[in-house]
This record gives sequence, C-alpha cells and structure tokens, in this order.
Amino acid sequence: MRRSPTRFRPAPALAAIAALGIVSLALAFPAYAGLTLDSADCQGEIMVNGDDGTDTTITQDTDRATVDPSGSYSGTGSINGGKGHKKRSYSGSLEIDLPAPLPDYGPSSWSWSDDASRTYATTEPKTGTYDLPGFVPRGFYVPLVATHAENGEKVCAYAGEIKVSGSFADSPVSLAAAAGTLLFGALATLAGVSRRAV
Amino acid sequence: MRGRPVLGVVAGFLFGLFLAATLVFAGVLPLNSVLVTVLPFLGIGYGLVMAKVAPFRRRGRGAAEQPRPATD
Repeated sequence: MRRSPTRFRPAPALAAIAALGIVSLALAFPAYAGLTLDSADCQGEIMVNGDDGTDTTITQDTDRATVDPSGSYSGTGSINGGKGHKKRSYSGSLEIDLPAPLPDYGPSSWSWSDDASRTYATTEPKTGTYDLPGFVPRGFYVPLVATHAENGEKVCAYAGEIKVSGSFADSPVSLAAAAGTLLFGALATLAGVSRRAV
Repeated sequence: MRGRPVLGVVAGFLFGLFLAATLVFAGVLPLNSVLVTVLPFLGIGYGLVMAKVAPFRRRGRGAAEQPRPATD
C-alpha cells in the first residue's frame, strides 16, 4: 500500500475502530435470556389490556409478548408460594431494556417497594395505565426485564422480550436510523472522491 | 490510496451501525443476530474500498477547468 500524503496508518486506525465498535456494540445490544435468577420461587403475572382491544398476559415463564403502545395493566406476584410472616423490606422494578443510546423505559409506577412488610404475595393487584413514548421502537422485539430484591438481596430476575405493535414508520427512532443510514452511506461513498478533485 | 481513507473508515463504520439498527427496527434482523455485530465492520471495509478505488470525478469538473473565453 502506497503511503498517502495524509500519512494514514491503517493498522492503528482499524484497531481503534474495532475496539470502539466492540465496546459500543456491547453497550448498545445487551444480552437477554429467559428466567435468569429465581432463588425464592418467584411468581408474577401482568395482564395488559391495550387500547386497541387486545389482551396480553405476561408471566415469569413468558418468552415473548406483543402489546399495544397504550392501555392499562394489572399485576400480581408472590415469592415462596405466598407463605411467610417475617417482617422484611423488599423492592423491585420492571423496565424495557432498550439498546443504547436509547434510554431504558421504566416509569416509577412500574416499581414496587416496602420497608416493613409481612406479606409474601400481593393482596390487591397493582393497576395503572401506560402510554409508551415514541422513542420505544415499534414492530420488533426488545428486552423486558424485571428484578425483585428481599432485604436488599436480589432473589428474582426475569428477562423476556416485548414487541410494541406498530410499523417501522410509527417511531421517530426508526426514521432517524434510516436517515443515518442514507447520510453515512453517502459519506462512505464520498471517500472515493479524489482529494485532488475537491 | 488517492481517496479519503479516514472518512471511509469513520463514515463506513457509522453506515454499518445505522444500517444494522435500521434492519433491526424494520424486523429484518433479530436484535441478537451476529450480522448486527458484523455490519459495522463491513461498513469499514466498504469505506476503505471506496477510498482505494478513488478517484471518482465530480460531474462537470472538467468543464469547470476549461479556460474562460475572453469577454471583450
């Protein structure tokens, strides 16, 4: 390879780009799998009623589910079969684990906690409404993760996949990705324009 | 290499990254597909190939280099 006037050194540049790529991709696309931790016989069920009339049930055994972008939900759960009376603290949360640089989505209403509880199962379903923001891409599966901790120690971890119904054009994130593809595709092609020709 | 290899590497990487994201968002590729990891590096290769096969001529460049006729 003949040395160019700009002293481009391909080996260090490619190594740096490769390292950057591996790090960014590891951050951008988190790994996910089924039930990853269950040391307390964790049970959970969420019934999702979409505004489009669809009903979806997600349990600790659900691998994949499709939900409407907005609607209502009702959730219940238990540990150790609901048996036990010892006072303890607990906390947990559910969130959609979006690939970076998109932020994860999990509003405060999707979490639960108590500093001094004696119950080991929900007595009343946790209900609410939801309206997923536009940055949550439509039409493909993204990781849905949930965790539950007892006295500060994580005892349950769930990881499944959720798809928000809709099409590619329904999310500005999808359109931005398409625009970026066109922009950087054109720029990469412009690398073939001779420096003397500009 | 008469093209722009640095531009080719940077833009090619981002081209592959955005292309992978677009294909995932369109449902063509699953999120955990190996192609999602490979595409950015194929983009780097594309940028370098573009830089290697340079020069591309800008359209109308030859006409712009023609001497201007005398006006009076």
